[in-house]
Amino acid sequence: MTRRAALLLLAALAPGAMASPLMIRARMFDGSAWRDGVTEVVVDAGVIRSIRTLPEGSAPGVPGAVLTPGLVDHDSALGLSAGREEPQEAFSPDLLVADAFSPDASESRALARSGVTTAWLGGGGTSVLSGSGALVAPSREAARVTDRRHGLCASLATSARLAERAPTAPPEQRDQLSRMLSDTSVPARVRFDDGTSAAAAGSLPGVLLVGVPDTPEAARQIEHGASAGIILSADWAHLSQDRVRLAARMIEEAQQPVGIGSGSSTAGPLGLRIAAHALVQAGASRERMLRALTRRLDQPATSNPALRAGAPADLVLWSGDPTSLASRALVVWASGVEIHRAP
Amino acid sequence: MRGLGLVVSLACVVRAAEVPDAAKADAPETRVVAVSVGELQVGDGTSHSPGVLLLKDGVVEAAGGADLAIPDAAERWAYPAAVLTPWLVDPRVEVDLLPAEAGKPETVMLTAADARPSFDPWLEQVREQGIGAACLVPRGTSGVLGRTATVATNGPGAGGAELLGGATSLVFRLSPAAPGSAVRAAQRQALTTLLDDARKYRDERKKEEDAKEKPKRGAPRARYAVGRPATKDEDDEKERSEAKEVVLLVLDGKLPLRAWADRDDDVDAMLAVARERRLTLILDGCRDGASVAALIGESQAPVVLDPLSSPAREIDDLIPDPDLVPTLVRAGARIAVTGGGAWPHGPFSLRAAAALLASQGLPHDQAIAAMTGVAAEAAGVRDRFTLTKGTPARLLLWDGDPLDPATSILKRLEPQDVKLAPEIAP
Repeated sequence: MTRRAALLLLAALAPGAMASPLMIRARMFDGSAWRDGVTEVVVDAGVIRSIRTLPEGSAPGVPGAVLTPGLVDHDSALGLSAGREEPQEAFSPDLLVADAFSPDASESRALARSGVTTAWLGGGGTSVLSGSGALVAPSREAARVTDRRHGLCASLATSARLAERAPTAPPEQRDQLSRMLSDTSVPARVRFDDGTSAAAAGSLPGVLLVGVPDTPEAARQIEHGASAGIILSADWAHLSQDRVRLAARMIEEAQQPVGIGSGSSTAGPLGLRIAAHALVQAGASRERMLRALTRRLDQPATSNPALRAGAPADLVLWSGDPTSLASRALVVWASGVEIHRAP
Repeated sequence: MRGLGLVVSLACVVRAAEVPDAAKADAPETRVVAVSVGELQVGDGTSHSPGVLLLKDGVVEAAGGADLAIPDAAERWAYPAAVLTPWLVDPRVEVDLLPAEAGKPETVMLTAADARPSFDPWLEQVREQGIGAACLVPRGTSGVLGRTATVATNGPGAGGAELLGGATSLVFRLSPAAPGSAVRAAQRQALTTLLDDARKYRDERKKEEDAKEKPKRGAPRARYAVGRPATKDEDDEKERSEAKEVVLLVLDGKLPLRAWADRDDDVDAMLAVARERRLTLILDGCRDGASVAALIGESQAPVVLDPLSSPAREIDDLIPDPDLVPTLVRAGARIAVTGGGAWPHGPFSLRAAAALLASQGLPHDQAIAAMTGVAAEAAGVRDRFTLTKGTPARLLLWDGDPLDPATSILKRLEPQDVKLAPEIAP
């Protein structure tokens, strides 16, 4: 046996590795749109090998089940119970949120069963620049960091305007930020929470704006800004109905791409689906909602759907439409590895 | 308005009552309407698909399936694609009252009804969501928090919240402090002390009354001095007496004890207190209640679950116990659901919370009952929010499953609508 063959065998026997190709038959949302009828997806070695529409009348593997890409939490606080806020300094560009990441077992389990396969950790809102975010992925064991330095985290929200710390005015904060946020490969995330911060944040080019507008005027300032996208993030279970409706309208009408964050949700990663349920109930269409749940705003825009041959197999098989909380994740695969199966 | 066009197009009058003109003049005022729907959710955990609801003068006469006998003279309204339910109830909306001092008599006297006026600006929006009532629960972390009050959003005079119940339960909360904490033992002891003190008070009062009935020499002694303002001590004593009267209502089973507890041993302790003293019990919280599910089911007390706002770190875990709902269901527990949180945001999340319980194993019909009939019982207004015989017809007509977020309400009907207003017929 050659050294290379031995390494491959070891890899195949490693915990969580897939023993054989996986075939899934279900109704499918591919990240861009619903596919007609029943779709067959074949996964091998962590990658989607093929996708084909089955002949009319073909039965899905599980009646009523829906296959989607893994959900993307664009503003996660998972495992950061004490480390999300670093209010001492206005600008701390060198801090790494990943250094504060310390999930307990229940958080890792919550992530695995939530259907979220990419969680983008972010800092809190009290520092104007709180350092770099990190990417986290679920696994069958503990959730793990997959990129320790993934986009800067900034805030022009009210909590960043500390009286004893300059600069305190959003326009000045914005000017300093705009110099520090240039030349980054991953877009920075900038929080806003009211009309003043929305106006300042909306004028920053090439960043992702994080928050939910509190007035139609603030929503317009965000929608008409030159940002790279909008991350609607909040404690969704207890957000005012007016803000939920504004957010639902943005999902329908915003020119920029929209993603969702669980933010400060006490429900953890489930917050993403609480958001989906609330936003659909408030008028967002299911298809746009699913796009917002599954797209990657940290990556360059593409017209390719997330589920396509050659793409990493981050997949979730749901008992029904995932925008309804009445549905649950039946099976979750991260890079082709089954990390959760509902009992 | 999504879905409205769909059902309006699907809805049709199968056959309007045909009454000769001469007979019309002499016709009794009684109006009988048979509403046929794709699915009828009674609100008590049962359903009929398809279903028929028979109404007589705005009151439910019968609910059944397609084979339900319909009088010849009945008007027939048909919504074959729609789902019919009672209005919804949120059995816990937290309100801020005074800072509570656990176990003190004055907290017994607090009532959430005092928070009612601040609710009015939101009533219309909450009503639009199909929420017919909300039980206001004093906010607090432990001890006696005061009395709940239940307000209607769809009552007469829709411009203001109609008080359905000014004191629908007495809230006792057990803090989810760490397991084995002495604090929690002290909390439980505070409740038994409160109940025992009230019982002693009643015994003493009875002795006093018995003594009064005996022939007395000289003038009776006034309990309070007459002709001068009461002293502070006298006022305090009066308040303590009033508080004990409230607790006596709990002891007599006339005012439910709402035990708000999450840890299994606390729930167990509350069940034991209620069982030994024959109290009427409402359970709230119970996030850690799977291990005592059998006792919860046996008690038949409504259990208010709050699946959306599970700041589970308070009870050691970020996610709810996946066994909780299935175990409670197997035990026959009567589950109600709250959207959690404060007015008006909690009620807006009520359907989402019920949907989440369904995904955790609560059967669909019971999930509907959790936000209608059982929720109403937990809110102390059980006579309104089911579609059982004798109940005034407060109805919601949906264009699909109420647990689905894309489902809209097509019509909101009140008894007077069904009784008096023919224009609401399809």
